[in-house]
Amino acid sequence: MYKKFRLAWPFLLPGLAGLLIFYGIPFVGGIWYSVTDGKVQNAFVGLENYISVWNNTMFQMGLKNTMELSLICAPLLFLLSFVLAAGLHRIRPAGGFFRSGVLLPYLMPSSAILLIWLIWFDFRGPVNRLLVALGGTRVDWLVGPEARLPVILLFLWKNLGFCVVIFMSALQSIPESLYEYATLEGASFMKQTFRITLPLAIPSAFLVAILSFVNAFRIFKEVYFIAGAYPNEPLLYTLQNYMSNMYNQLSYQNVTTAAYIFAVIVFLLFGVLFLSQRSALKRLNGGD
Amino acid sequence: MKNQTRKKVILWLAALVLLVTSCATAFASPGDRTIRHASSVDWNYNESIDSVFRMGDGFGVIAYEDGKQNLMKYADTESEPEKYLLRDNHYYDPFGETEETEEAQMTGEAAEGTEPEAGEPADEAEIQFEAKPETAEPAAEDGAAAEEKQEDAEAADGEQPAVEGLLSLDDIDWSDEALNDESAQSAFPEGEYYPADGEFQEGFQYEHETSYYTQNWFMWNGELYGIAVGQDWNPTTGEQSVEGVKLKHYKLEDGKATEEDADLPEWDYDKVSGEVESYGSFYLNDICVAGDTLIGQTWGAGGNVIMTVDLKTGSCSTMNMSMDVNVIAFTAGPEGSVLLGIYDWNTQKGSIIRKNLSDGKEETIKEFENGSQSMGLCYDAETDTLYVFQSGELWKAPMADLTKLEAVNDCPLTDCHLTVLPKGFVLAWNSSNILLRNTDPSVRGTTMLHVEDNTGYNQTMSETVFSLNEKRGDLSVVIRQQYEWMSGTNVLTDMMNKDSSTDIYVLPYEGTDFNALKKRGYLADLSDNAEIADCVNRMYPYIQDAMKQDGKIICVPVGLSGQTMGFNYKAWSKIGGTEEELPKTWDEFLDWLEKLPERLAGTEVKLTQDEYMADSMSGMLFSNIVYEYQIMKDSKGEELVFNTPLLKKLLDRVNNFDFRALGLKSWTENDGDNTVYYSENGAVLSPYTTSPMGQEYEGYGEPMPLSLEEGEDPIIPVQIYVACVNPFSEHAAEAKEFLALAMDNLEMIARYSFFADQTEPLRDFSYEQQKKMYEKYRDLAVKDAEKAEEGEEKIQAEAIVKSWDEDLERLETESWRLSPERIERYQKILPFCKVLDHDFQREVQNTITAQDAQLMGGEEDDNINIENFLNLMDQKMQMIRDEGK
Repeated sequence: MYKKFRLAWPFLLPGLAGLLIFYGIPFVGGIWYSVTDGKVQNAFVGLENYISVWNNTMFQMGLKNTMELSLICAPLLFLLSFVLAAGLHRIRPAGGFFRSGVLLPYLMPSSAILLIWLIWFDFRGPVNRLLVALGGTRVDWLVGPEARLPVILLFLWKNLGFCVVIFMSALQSIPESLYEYATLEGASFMKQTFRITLPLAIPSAFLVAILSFVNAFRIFKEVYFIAGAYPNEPLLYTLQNYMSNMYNQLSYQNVTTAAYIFAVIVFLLFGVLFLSQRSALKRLNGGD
Repeated sequence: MKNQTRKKVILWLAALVLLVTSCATAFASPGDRTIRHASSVDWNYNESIDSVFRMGDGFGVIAYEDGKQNLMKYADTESEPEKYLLRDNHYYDPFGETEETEEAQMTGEAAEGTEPEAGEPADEAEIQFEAKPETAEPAAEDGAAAEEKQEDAEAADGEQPAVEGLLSLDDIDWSDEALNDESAQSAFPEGEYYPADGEFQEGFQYEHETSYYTQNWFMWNGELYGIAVGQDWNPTTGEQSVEGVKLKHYKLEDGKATEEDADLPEWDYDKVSGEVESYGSFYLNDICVAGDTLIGQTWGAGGNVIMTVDLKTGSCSTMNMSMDVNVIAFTAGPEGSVLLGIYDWNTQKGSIIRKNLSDGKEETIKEFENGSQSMGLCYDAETDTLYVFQSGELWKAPMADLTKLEAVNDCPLTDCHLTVLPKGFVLAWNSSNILLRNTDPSVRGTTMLHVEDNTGYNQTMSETVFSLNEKRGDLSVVIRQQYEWMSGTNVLTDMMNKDSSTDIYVLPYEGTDFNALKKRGYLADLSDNAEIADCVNRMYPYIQDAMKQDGKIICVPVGLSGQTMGFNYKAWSKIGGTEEELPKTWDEFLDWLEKLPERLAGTEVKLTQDEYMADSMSGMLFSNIVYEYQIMKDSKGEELVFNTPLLKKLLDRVNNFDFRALGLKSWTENDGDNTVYYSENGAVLSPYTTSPMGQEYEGYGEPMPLSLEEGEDPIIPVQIYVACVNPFSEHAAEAKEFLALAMDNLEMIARYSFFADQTEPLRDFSYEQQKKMYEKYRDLAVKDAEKAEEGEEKIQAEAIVKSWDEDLERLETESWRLSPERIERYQKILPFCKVLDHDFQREVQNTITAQDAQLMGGEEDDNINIENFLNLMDQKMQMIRDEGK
């Protein structure tokens, strides 16, 4: 065991070093900035920044919008990717083309996707023309509160492929013999799904859930390209807008403070997800 | 004992260190030399450098000064020049400065001088001449004339006014008899300069000879040659054409460079004329000689063209460059290639391309990540070394390995050509300066200051280096100039990283970056530098206030930037307008503007200098009003809200104002010939003026003090560029010293706008010469009048004297760079001048997306929905404000 552990180090070290240098140290180092006044002398101000940022209306607006967008986008992404992965898993090997194709949006640069999106959702664009053809009226998708829809769709379209791939690899790793045995025992499709597929796919599902939330929290490019630094529609102002604008004003103590507040929220959320995963696994495995 | 020895050694070492450091000035950049320098902030257009080329171990300079074109031959890099007179054009001083000429004039010898036939070349002392009395116009009567003259001088960088076939002023008899004499008139053939009645009539026969201009010079086989282009102009059709190209050879003897036709095969220019000419003119830029081939680049009908001439056979050939490349430097490269410096405005990157002249193959040999918009190139075939001027520094590398490109010396010029010299020296030169630079990096100044100048065009920083070099030889200054709005600045990332690599930043005072620095205290305190403190104390209070924060000096002003509509008081008074008639509020202004065309009808004064400004005029008034409104709110301490009845009403009026009814057109209506119409008699309104005193020259317009509503004070928004010191700079003391010197190197208009003690009116550069010339003409006319017989002759002679008196009077009243009236008006508007400290308008407009613009769009294409616009401004500004809470 000890020998195995020793052998693992050379493989782990490069990754760990990168993680430590580019994430660990800046993350810890940034704490100092969040407790200083951000002026040239960088005086220590304790939790003053945390209080002022927490009470800042724009931070609150950004946080609220980010959480809302995440709570809409992440579950949608999770469900859609699972359904799509299960479907593609069913039609294999014929689904090879779709399996590869589903990753394409993920590989495309955001700006290119966004250009397509802007054309589609333009007031005179294909989406509105379709609406009119179906008897509806044109909607200003990119201006009012409706602008959230293109943002959500853009996020789903871009991130779906990656989550599908993770789900599919989990599904493919489940031994086929288990399903054959269950079928022989007379287990229904639903029973197979809940008793075999889900318990064995839960670790991957947890990963997908985490990634969905992380990506949803980071929705910015999409919003920025559509609505700019100060969106005309307040619903589109995210936490990333706040942090980017603060950076442009050289207010990096606010940037770091906002980041740590957000990190705490994210950790709490992931903690909840982790506990849910544990209890779900317990229920599915040990509940019998 | 041991301790004592150790102490001695330490003392000796310390003494040695002191000795070396104190001698640093002497060791700094040995060989560097300013060969020629003309101030670029107070530019006298009477001087210009036309060409610089290598001559044996030294170099030659062809320069224009005091009406004479001279060749200065430097035997080597250290010697003083031998001077050879190339041409005596005497444009600005027809009597010359030499005693001999002066005497000849005063004794009336000139009046009896020879009168060459029209078009026949005079031996020397030739002049590009406009017949009297039209030449009697003061040099800078109005902005347009001043600009033309400045442009002429700028063009003198390459284009020579040396016109073969024109007359020497010394050869002209100005006496009344002579002027009335037919033979004398033949010296000014009708139509060559001005037709008799001042207008060209249909069927008018235009007779003249082609004038050959020597455009540029080069050395080949140890001899000096010039390229003379025969330029023809038909005043009836207004078309110009190139009649041919001749090579000239120069003999240098007895202080003269005598021009003669070169004994070389004639160029088969006709073969390539269709490709190298543009709008009937030809100019070969950046010429260089590789072996027996002369290479240059020109702009032809098809875009950038490389032209080569085999000097042994006269055979000309061309090669096209891509239409879409922006060539900023050009030189001959190794093995029959040329090297092109390119700047791509889209990617904002510079690169060097090598192009083979044999097969046209192009290869990018170097790319600059942070390249500036100007570049200089030269290649030394003897050492196979490439020299590059980029971002304020000289770089060199072996041609075979450009990855070794290293900065070897600084060069304060904002744009320059390079000429390679022996022993690793390079000449960096432009139309006003020639700097000799060594290229040994080990002998650079011991302390290096880095300046990031985001003005894009201001010359103050560059000019300050020349002053600093005289004072501190141990300081080396590298200036990186860029347009802040184009490339953005590095300030924020530098501050985040506590980066000390840039010592001085030049930024717009009202910009986001400077405001961020100010708010966070990231500005070094400059108060401890006594010279800066003294300078700031001499400034007008409204400028002083802007330079200080909590009593400390945080920056110094180095230029003016804004765009405010200009009003030309001179043009207004020309049509009989008085200051009392001028509007006091914006509402009144718009009423006044509506009636202005009526007022101008039948006069020679135009409404604007450029008729295609219907859109820009609207935008300009729009932003002027918004700026004024913002400052008004600030000064009253009221919260800034844009959507108020006052602002809405004013902007609505501007938005619905029919600028076309004023006779203005939109840029989109430009018929493609890009003609901009300037009125010689001035225009009442000008598209912009950057300073509260107007522009550099008289007649460009000054800000008009207008208030937003009756009972309010007018406000004149002043936008400035400031220089500040990086708080992390390791050379803060030197940086402050540099900024203190910068205060002595401000552009004239900035100096007068900032300093309260600058109130002396400034005469035009050519005032003294013009005055001297007019007085002498008048004296001659008086003598003629005294000699004239009673009757018609006497009346005519006295009329000429009177005309000179009037010219002298006009010169006295109009020949100003900065007139007493302008200074007086500035003093009057001083209480209304406010420095714009935060450009919310621009900040908000920068955040406006295509969707926002769609929202702002009005029902008509030209107009915007003011209500939506103001709401959007308020909403975005509220967000900005809330973020900062």
